[in-house]
Amino acid sequence: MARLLTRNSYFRSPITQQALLRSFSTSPRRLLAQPSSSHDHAHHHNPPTPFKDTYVNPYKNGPSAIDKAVHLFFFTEILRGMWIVLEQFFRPPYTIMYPFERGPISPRFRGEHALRRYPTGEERCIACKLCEAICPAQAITIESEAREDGSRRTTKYDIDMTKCIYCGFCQEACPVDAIVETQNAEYSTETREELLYNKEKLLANGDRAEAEIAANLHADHVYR
Amino acid sequence: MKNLFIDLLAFGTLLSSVLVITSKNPVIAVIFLISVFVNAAGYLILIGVGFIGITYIILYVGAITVLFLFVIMMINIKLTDILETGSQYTKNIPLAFSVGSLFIYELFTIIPFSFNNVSALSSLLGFFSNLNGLLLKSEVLSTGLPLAQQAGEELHAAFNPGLADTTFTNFIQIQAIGQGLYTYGATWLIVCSIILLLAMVAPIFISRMSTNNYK
Amino acid sequence: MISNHFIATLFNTLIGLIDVLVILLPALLSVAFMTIIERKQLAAHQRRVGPNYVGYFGVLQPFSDALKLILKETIVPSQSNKVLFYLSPVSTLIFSLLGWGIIPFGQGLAISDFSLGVLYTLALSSLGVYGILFSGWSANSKYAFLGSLRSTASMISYELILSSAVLIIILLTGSFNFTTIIEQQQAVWFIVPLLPIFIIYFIAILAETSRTPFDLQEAESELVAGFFTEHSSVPFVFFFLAEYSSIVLFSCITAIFFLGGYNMPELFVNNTFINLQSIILGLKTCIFCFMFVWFRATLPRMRYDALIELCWLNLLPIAVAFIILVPSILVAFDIAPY
Repeated sequence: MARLLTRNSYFRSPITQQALLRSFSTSPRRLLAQPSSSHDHAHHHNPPTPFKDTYVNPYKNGPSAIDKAVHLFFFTEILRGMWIVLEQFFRPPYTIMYPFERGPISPRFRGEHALRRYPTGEERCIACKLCEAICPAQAITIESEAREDGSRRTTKYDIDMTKCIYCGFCQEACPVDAIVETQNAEYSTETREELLYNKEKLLANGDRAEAEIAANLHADHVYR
Repeated sequence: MKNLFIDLLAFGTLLSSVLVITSKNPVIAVIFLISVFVNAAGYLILIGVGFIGITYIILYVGAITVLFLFVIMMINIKLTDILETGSQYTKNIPLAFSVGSLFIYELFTIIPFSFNNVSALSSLLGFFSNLNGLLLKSEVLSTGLPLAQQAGEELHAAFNPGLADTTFTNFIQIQAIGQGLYTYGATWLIVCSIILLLAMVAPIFISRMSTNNYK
Repeated sequence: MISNHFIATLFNTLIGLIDVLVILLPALLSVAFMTIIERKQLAAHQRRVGPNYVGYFGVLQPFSDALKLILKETIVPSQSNKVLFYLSPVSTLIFSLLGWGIIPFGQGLAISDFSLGVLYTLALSSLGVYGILFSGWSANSKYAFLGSLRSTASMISYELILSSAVLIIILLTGSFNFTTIIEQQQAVWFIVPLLPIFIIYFIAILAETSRTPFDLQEAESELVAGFFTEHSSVPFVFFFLAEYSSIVLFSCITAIFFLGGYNMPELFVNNTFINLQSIILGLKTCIFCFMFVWFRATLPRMRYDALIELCWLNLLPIAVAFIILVPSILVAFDIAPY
């Protein structure tokens, strides 16, 4: 078929002309002078002729014309894609029905903040203000004063949950594990003021969720 | 009742055509052109040539006016220019009306139009006497088509209820058109098709990209 | 004054009205349920669950959608052409719903078994283009206008392919009447001899209804919204209903043309007490509605110039070739049906 293309002599290069001549010749196919392999008479084979053995017929490789026509007119790859989509139709969905089922949450999940207490009931926070210093959003506001029994405690510990970015730096900074983030992320409110947590709210969070917080801390403590 | 519709559609056609030329906004003018074609198609359906009527809608309304709309919407028409020239024209409407009606009167006097061997002017005057018959009596045939009379069917041959067997009568129209077009009008048909081919090739050639991929 | 003739015409009008209602109300319900079918089926293809909250498995979702859209505020742009702005969605819906008038649900059981039924359907699809064209223009907004021009151009291009494919069916049946087309398929459904034409026809229908892969005009997740950008609540409901109504209508027409319509040969030859044939037509329509949504789930969107190139450079020559081939075969073997 390549011969047909080269019928017009205008397009002929010397190499293709040789190719044309070769098709009618009866002499052995040799294009250029080859070095005589006199030392290799035992395995006498034709040395590789450059044009013949390197010439690639573009119409012999790949799919045949009828294959290509079938793929063109009958949209084979589109039909294959559609079959795959049809298979998916009969398979179960991956959806989780959210309010009734929840996905798995890691113990490191950073949600609503809580202030913890010691098992005796004494609040852990010693007003060192490390959390306030490290908070990137400056969401924590602390004022501290000596308590009646002389210990160092906070009088005001506010976290502005609308500023907080839930990065967890405060719980990493706290030396006594007082401020932690629980796994609760469902505490939306209807007014903005309710989201400006103060100390009572945070302590109440902690009291409510202490068992869960303790379990999460224990699960994670080797990495901290 | 059907007669009333025929008259209403004819009146609608004429009214829409007047509104085509007097509308200020060109897109509104094309909308009235669509209305002309739809009214004319309805008229044709009601007088029995349903095939031509629906073909009107498919071709005129479906293709030709869409072409007009594309052209109007894509060229930059400045509405203010049109409004200016429009107001100058509306000053002259009484003069235009009188000259136009004189012309039409002269046309009707010279050329012997007649429906059912009644000259057109007396049928225009007889319109008022027929007005009673339109609303209260049964069908008053004001146009007599030989085709409908030959087939012996009523004028609304386009709507045939019931089974498919009774609908073969409408094929007579299409056969008639086909026989006339492909035997007597064959040469004209071929000429029209060559014109259409040229009309298709010309814009394709004009609008092809200059980086020529000769497909 | 009140004569027999008058009472007779009044009665006939009333019966005609009941005819129309009996067909139109279920048609509108089917359009409403088509929306939920699409959402649930797309979800199933994508391994998720569609709307499942409103009714059992979400079947009442379209009614809550309709209620929400009606109760929204209708915003009309101040510089728009108010008449056309309200009229174009209305006309789109009207021309979509008018197509239900000639579909036979049994032998000759249509609102009007029009002898030129196929031409009527083609005329309605030509007229439906105008609603889109004028809605974009009347909104007086650049994006809506361009979207409507593109939509219109693609719709009129593919109308040609649609008419060609339908013409070949008419050549095989010899009549424009829907009932005749269905009865002629008693020997073999037309999808068997005309499978390539079915493929071309289905592509044309996908483009006529602006469905994926041909929906760059709306491109719901990409562009603003195409030609109905400015239409807000009730006008939008009309466009929405008109789109799904044309999907269901074209599925029905496909079932009639290619799949034998209401006939299931040798099973339900006569009408029984309940109209089983309409149920058969409904099931075949469901197959094609499924295919519409299946195509939407599988294929990506085509670029607009690729769409137009596909129509004029690829599909039109094939359609013309079939228009030459099929009558040649009919004349050569002398099996022309008339």
